[in-house]
Amino acid sequence: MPLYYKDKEFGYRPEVRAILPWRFFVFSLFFTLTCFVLYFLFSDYLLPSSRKAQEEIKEKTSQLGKEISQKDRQQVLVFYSQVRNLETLLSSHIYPSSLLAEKIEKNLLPQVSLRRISIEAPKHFFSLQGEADSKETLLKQILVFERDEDFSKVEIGNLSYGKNVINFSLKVYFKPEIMRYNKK
Amino acid sequence: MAIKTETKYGQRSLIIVSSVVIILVGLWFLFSKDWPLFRDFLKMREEIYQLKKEYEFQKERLLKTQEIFKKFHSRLSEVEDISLALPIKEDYGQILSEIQFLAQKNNLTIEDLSFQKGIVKNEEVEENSLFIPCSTIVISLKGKGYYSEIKSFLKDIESDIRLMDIERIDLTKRILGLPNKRVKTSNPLISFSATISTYKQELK
Repeated sequence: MPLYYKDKEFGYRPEVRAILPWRFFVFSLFFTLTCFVLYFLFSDYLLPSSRKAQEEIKEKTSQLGKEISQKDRQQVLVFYSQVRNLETLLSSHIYPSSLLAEKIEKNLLPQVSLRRISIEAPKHFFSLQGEADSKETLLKQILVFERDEDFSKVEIGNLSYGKNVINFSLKVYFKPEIMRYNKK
Repeated sequence: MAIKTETKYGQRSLIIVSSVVIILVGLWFLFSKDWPLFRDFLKMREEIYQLKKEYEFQKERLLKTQEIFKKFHSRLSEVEDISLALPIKEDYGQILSEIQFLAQKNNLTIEDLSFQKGIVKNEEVEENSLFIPCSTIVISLKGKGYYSEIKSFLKDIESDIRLMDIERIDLTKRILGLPNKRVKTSNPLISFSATISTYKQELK
């Protein structure tokens, strides 16, 4: 049922609220149009421009890596490896001459002479072949080596008697530190 | 008057229905088309932000690296000194001349000298490490000379600028002392053989 209102000039007139549906219609049109515009805004402008920006940053980041030449990189890499390798090599660098001078020579009794000395640095032993003037001298010689703190083990090899001499061969194991620069 | 009012109501209903339909179309478009695009856009913005952060980080690192390179280039002479101890070239000629020089300096005669290209020392190289290991060159030599001179030769080898490790030495003939009335200072001619390891920096 329509509602009526009283008009001063024309008397009772039906109350038609046509304005609200028109506003609603305009709003709906505006809303839907906005949705369409948003679609085109995203698909044609915002997304492509973001994609482009993304590509640009990626390209710029990859260009950063190229700013250092391959030659320079290789040079520094080799230098770094050299330093690291040298550190390891120097820490294990050995001085067998010190073993000869400070250990074998100093510990050798005057009554003993050597025919052969072999130093096996990686296996940490040296072998001696020689002759002593008596069994007692040889025994003393073995004791001298055994008492030395830097030697860990003395092995006696062949023993044979010659004219006034006794031929022997010994294998003496030493502590690896005695051939290093910093012995202690 | 009643007909007019009915017409107005008919129009009104039509407008409302059309508006609702239009809104529904708009809503359908919003959720099926706009929303996925909007989500993509947000995702992309986030990615761009992360990429920018990464770029700034890389740029900072590059600046630091360039600084290191600058220092490296300013000390190139010292870098070359390191190459004297651990060369990067396979220089057998250089090794030969160095050993010959040291032997001559100590009055030793080298009778035989051979090289053996060694194995790459690959001591626990971490995976993906930039570190390049070095390789060993094994030198076997035989010669003769006097004991004190051999000792001096060994000392020279040990302290040479080029890193060399004497792995094995074999000295034969009388060395120290004589069987009767042995004297430690005697210095007889003896023959020797040695195995020496020297090293070379690998390049890759």
